[in-house]
This record gives sequence, structure tokens and C-alpha cells, in this order.
Amino acid sequence: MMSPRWRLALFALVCAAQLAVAGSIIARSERVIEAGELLRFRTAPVDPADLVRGRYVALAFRETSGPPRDAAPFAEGDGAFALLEVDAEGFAKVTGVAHARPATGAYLEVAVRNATPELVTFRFPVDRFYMPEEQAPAAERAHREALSGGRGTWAEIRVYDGRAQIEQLVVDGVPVSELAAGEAHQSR
Amino acid sequence: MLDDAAAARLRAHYRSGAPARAAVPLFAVLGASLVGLGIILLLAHNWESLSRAERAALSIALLLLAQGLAGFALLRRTASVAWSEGSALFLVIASGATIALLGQTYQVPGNLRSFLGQWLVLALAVPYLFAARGAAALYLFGATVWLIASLADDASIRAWWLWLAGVAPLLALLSRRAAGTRDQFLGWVAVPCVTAGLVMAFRVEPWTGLAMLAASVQAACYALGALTREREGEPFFALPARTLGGIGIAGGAVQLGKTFAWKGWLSDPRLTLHHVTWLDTAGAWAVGAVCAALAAVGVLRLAPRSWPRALLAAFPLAVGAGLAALRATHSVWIAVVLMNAYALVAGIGMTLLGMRESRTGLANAGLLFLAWLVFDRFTDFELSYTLRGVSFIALGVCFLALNLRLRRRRAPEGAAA
Repeated sequence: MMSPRWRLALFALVCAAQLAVAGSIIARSERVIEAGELLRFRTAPVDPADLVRGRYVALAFRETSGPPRDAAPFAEGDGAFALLEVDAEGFAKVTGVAHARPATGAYLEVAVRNATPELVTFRFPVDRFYMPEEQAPAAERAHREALSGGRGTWAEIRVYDGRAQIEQLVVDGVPVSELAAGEAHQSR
Repeated sequence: MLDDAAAARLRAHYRSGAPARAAVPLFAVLGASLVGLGIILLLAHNWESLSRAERAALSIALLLLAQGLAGFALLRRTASVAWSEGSALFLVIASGATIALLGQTYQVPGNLRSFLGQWLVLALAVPYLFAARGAAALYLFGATVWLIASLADDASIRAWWLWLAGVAPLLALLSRRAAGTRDQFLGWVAVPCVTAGLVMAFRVEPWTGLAMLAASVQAACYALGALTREREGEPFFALPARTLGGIGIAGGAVQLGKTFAWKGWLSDPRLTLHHVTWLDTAGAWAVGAVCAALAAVGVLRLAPRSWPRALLAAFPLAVGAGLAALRATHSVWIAVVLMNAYALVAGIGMTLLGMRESRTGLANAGLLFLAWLVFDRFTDFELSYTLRGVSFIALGVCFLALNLRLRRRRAPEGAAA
């Protein structure tokens, strides 16, 4: 096996790598929170629970496709950039999908799901909203009922340098965490 | 040669010390797992009352604590197996927990697959640093879950080969040593993870090709276990590769003794695989060829001393013959009869050989194989309850008679000794 010196050097490297990954998650996320533009995205439904990361509300979004902005074709699995604009109602909409990172404006870094010459469909980078364990089911229920009732539901997402970070899920203008906390309080 | 006094000393030594020494690292692994999971549960329980900064600080503190303990074990407790195993496992758990907690705190986009990928990279070196079997077992389990999550997401699985290649040198190194309790534990985790992983990771068309590769993997696993680790009188739990490979072969033979699988292959032989290039297919066949070669070596080397075991290692040949018959006749029946005959002969052969050589384990394994075959065939046909009952009684009597006979045969040997 390894000599003690090499072993210590490798251990130091492993510790540094672990801390670097943890640190980079914090640094990148804080940067998005601090400098990101807050956009509203209309949602669509889904559910489950992930044993490793705890409870969450699973999400799907309406804006998951756009016209290609480049002549070069897109293929499944390709990395791409979804260009965003805010519509008249104040919601984010995708105006196009490009191969190259845009110099200005809001955009999301995405993976292409499938593409035709007219339309590029992509995986939306946010697919869940983490919540306290006791509130998540109620939040999910409220979100699902609002969607099926045709009421307004959206997610507030900070977008910075192609990265997205969800801040809040809103049902009928009320943050879902407030709705769920109220319901959890009543059931107690 | 040992004199009586030396033999008595050795017996006393193993009776008193060895189990205790084996138990210490196992309990260290158990303790580290419980401490790690307990801390995560405590944090999770109070999580919502903490601010974002507090959560981030606690997540990093958990990682630093694990690194500190691991560093202490590396610097001051190098000789302690318990410290090495316990602290390595805690570090692997803590590195994963830290990423997961931070991901949740900051609502970082991602799924189980991306989380596990990141964690496997950070965890890989830990088993090497501490020669820690528990950490290696957890890594392998994580790699298998990553593979399943990738298949469920219909995402690329190529990185699984990297995860496997990362830990392969350690497994090879450990397999060359005399197996202790810790190695056996790792074996019981590694063998199913690697064999099941290989079968899931093969990207080949059609189904029949995948069946051949799966048979080769099971046979190679069995042959490797039987040739490298088998010693006279070794119990089944000391030989995970041989035991699990044998179970895989028996299960495969019993399932292929039904018409169901062959009919499916005849009517619709294509899988619908995505993300498959020629490289994936060539790689799968290359690994399959290595496994088939290992199985062939197993057949040749086992045949002179135990033909039923050689027959088990020849499982890919039996499956290949069934597929050839299917292709030539476009009928499933030859293949079905062949697989049932294979299972029957292997089971009877193991039982008879075990009886002749007074090896209870082998004889019982043969009978279990036969019992599995009989029970499973009963589910295929509408047979009367009377016939089923009589058959079960007959099998039970066989078990009892065989074990009584072997016990009686051993009793005089024991008395003579």
C-alpha cells in the first residue's frame, strides 16, 4: 500500500476536495441569491419523496421549449441556453434556445430533451421545492388543487449566469409555505 | 505437522480471541453508521428553526468533524482496525450528508443521480486511505444506486464503468489476501453490486445477447469464487462469490426452464435502448468475453475434481445451446427441455457428490437447487394439491434422510478421531 507520507498527502487532498465542493455549493448559491434576477415561472404538476434529500414539492414548468436561435441543429442531451424575457403579465417566457452563452439578458443553462427545426424542448433545471417534512404534503396538495382549479401558481426563481435557484412557490398570490404552515397548525 | 499441545493452543487461541477481534471492526462500522445517521436525523429534525447561514455552518461542521476523526485515526490510530473502519465510514457518510444538506438548504437543482455522482467522486479515495472495507462496501452500494437512478432517468450510464474502475484495484488487492471477516462482509456486498451492475450496464441488442452476457457474468463469478477462495470445509458465508454466483446460475437455469422467456425472445427480441453507441456495445462484449473466458478456465480446472461444479461454471454453454436451438428450430421446447435437464443434472450431481464425499453443504445445496426447480415448475402447471403435497413431503424426506445419513457417517469419524 502507500507510504505514510503519501497517505497523509492524499488524505489532505481528499479533505480539501470535499471542503471545496461544499464551499463551492455555498459560494455559487449565495452569488445567485445576491446577484440573480428574480423571475416568475408558471408551474405544472407532479409529486414524490426523495429518501436522501428529504421532502419536497415536485415541480414541472410550462416554459420548457422555444424556437432555435441557431442554424446548427440541436441533439438530445446537448447543453444549450434558454433565453428569457418577461411577458406583459409579468411571467418569464422562453424566446429562443441558443448553443452559445448570451452576452446579455436573462437565460438558463439547460439540457436539450428533443429538437425539431422549429422547436427545441429542454429539461427545466429546477424540478423541486424543498420544504419542512410536515409541510410538504399540504403544500403539494394546495399546489395540485390550485393547478387543477385553474388558479394562478408560479415559482419565484432567481436566475444568474445561467444558474437557477428557486426561492418560493406561490399559489394564488400566497407563498405555499404560508399555506402549508397554516394547514399544519390547524391539524395540530 | 503440529503436536497435540500446539494444536490445543491454536484451538484455544481461535476459540477465545478471533471472534472478538472480528467483532470489533464490525461494531465500529455499525457504530459509525449509527452516529452518522443519528447526527443527520438530529440536524434534519431541527433544521427548519435554523437560518440559512446556521444550516450551512452545521453542514460544514459535520464534514470537519468527520475529517478530524479520520485524520486522528490516520495519524494516531493507524494500527486500530476499529478506528480505521469506523472513521472512514463516518467520513464517507458525512461527505454525502453535507452535500445533501447544502443542496436542500440552497434549493440546488439536481436529482438523486447527480447527487450520488458528486458523492462517489468525493468518497472514492477514502477506502484506499484506510483499507476500509465498510467504506468500500458503501461506495459500491452507492454506485449501484447511481446506476439504477440513471436507468430510471433514462440518462447515460457510462460513468458507472468509471465508478467500478475506481474501486477495482482495491478489490483486486484485497481479494489476494487471506479472507477475514471484514473481507467476507465486503464480498457479500461487492459481488451482488458488481454482478447485478454489470448485467444492468450492458448495452447490447437483442435480449438474447444480454442473456448470454448475464450467464457469463454469473458463471465467471462462480468460477472465480470456486477457484480462488475454496478451501476444504469452508462454510458458504466465507465464499460469497461462489455462493452468490451459484445462486445466480441456479436462479437463471430455473427461470429459463419456463417457456415464458424464450417465447418473448422469439417474438420480440429487441430491447429499446437509448444512449447506445458502438463503444458501449463493444465494451459490453469485451467484458462478456473476459467473463466467458474465466468461466471456461473454471470448467477446465473444476472438471477433474468436481464435475457438478464444472457443470455450473458451464452455464453460458447451456444458455448458448438453448439459444442455438431456438434459432434453428424457431420453437421454444428444445431450449426449455435443455435448461430443465441442465438444472436437474446439476442438482442431482451436487447432491450425490456431496453424499459421496460427506460434504453436507454441497449435498444440501444440490437438494435446495432441486427443490427450487420442483417448486417453480409447480407454479407453471395446474397440478392437484395431492400431487403437490406428496412431492413436497418426498423432498422433505430427502432432506432429512440425507442429513441423517451424513451425520451418522461423520459420527464414527468423530469418535475415531
